[in-house]
Amino acid sequence: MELLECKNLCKEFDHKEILKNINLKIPKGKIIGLLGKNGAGKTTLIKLINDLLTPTSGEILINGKNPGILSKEIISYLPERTYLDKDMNIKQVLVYFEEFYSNFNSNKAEKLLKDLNLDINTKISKMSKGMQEKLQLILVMSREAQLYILDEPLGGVDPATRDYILDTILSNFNEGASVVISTHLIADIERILDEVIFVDNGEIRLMSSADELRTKEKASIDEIFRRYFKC
Amino acid sequence: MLGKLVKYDLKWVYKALIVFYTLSFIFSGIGRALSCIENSIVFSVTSSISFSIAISMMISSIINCIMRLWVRFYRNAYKDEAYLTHTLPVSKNKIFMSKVICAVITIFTTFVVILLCLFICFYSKSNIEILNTLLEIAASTYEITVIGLILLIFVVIFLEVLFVALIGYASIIIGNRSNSSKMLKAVISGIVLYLITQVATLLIIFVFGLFNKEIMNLINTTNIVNIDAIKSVMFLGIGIYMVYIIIYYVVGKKLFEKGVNVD
Repeated sequence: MELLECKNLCKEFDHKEILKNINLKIPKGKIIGLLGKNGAGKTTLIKLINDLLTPTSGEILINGKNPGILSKEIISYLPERTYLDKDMNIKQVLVYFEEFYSNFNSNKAEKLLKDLNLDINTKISKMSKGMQEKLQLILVMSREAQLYILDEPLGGVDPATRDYILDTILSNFNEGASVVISTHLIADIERILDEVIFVDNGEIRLMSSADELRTKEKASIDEIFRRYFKC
Repeated sequence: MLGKLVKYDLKWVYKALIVFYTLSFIFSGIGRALSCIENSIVFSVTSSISFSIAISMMISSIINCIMRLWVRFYRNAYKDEAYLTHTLPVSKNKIFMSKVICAVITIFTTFVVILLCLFICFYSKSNIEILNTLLEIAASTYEITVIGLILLIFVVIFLEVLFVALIGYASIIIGNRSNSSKMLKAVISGIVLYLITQVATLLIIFVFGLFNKEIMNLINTTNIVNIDAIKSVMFLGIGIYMVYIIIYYVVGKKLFEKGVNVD
């Protein structure tokens, strides 16, 4: 059984098709790049998988079941927004995650926070947006999930922070789990990808193993992407 | 999980309410203490000012309670925080139920605080005697005890406020089902739902009036109101509000369970 499967998935907003007939299978134990230009439909697809949007038609199956309590137990999702309650401090956020997610490893989270020199008594409202994003990444990667979905984790951050983010992802995801990374900054992540999915205009244009694609096209994923989506 | 959700909802709503509760108690206490000092115009004026502030704090508590319940629901279910709320391993039914339980608890405590503050402000043997005499007349016409009458008034106001809170939840859900001008549509839905409910209430009372001459007299004559008719309408009102609360809870829950479209 596939970890995640989308069958004929469509999403419309005000009669405008944002996602068109998406058919997709995500196996276990892979790092997958969901690649596409801005506005291609990557975030919409991710939000549908995470039950933040309701599909117009089609079906999403996670471990064979529709999105619900069970899928939320096994998916660890990093949105492109900062979603934490600004009135809380880091310690309270850790307690919150511990209370709601049975697979949250607070020791791992505390260790990662220590590496960042973040005091757990710091209030979220006193943290910069960049710091809040790092905290969210730590929270998401501290869950022993089966599927990590990271929406634009590298968006709007400096190269040094990009390295930190990629290292945190690579060294902390659960063994045997899959990671879906949505981004348009391909050069930074292509070295870690097992599979790539190209999304454009709400449609999946290409799904392939990263190595096979590189060999076939004799170019890097970044170059292939530029060729595909040349304006 | 429901208990945990309720705990966090209550924490958030009470964070501001506790300030209003404290100020209500402090100014009630100050007003009461100063009113005990006799033959001083300064203390008498200050006491009156304190009572006024206390009463405005009590009114603010109830307004703030409703507003914070709505803001919590809106932020939690449809704004940035929704990215966390809807990805928790909890059903949408429980998320909505948690908001309703939070509304019941916070509105109840706000009324209790208001009653206590009023007690601090105005309790005296003579005031209680006046109140007792007044309520005894009313209670005997309603054929219930004074305590029963106080409870009846408390229940009617409590249900009315809870009903307003639930209309707010339902309209936030309806407004957010569309893809544009969500807030505006939520406000319009709220006003429309409230008006529809009020018209429906009048219709229900009219239908009951067809079978009860006293109630019908309330509607189509200008004669002095019969106390029996008011009593019937009051009990009917409690029944109607309870039905509305159940309807809005079920409708809100069903719509919320159908799924959300978070921006």
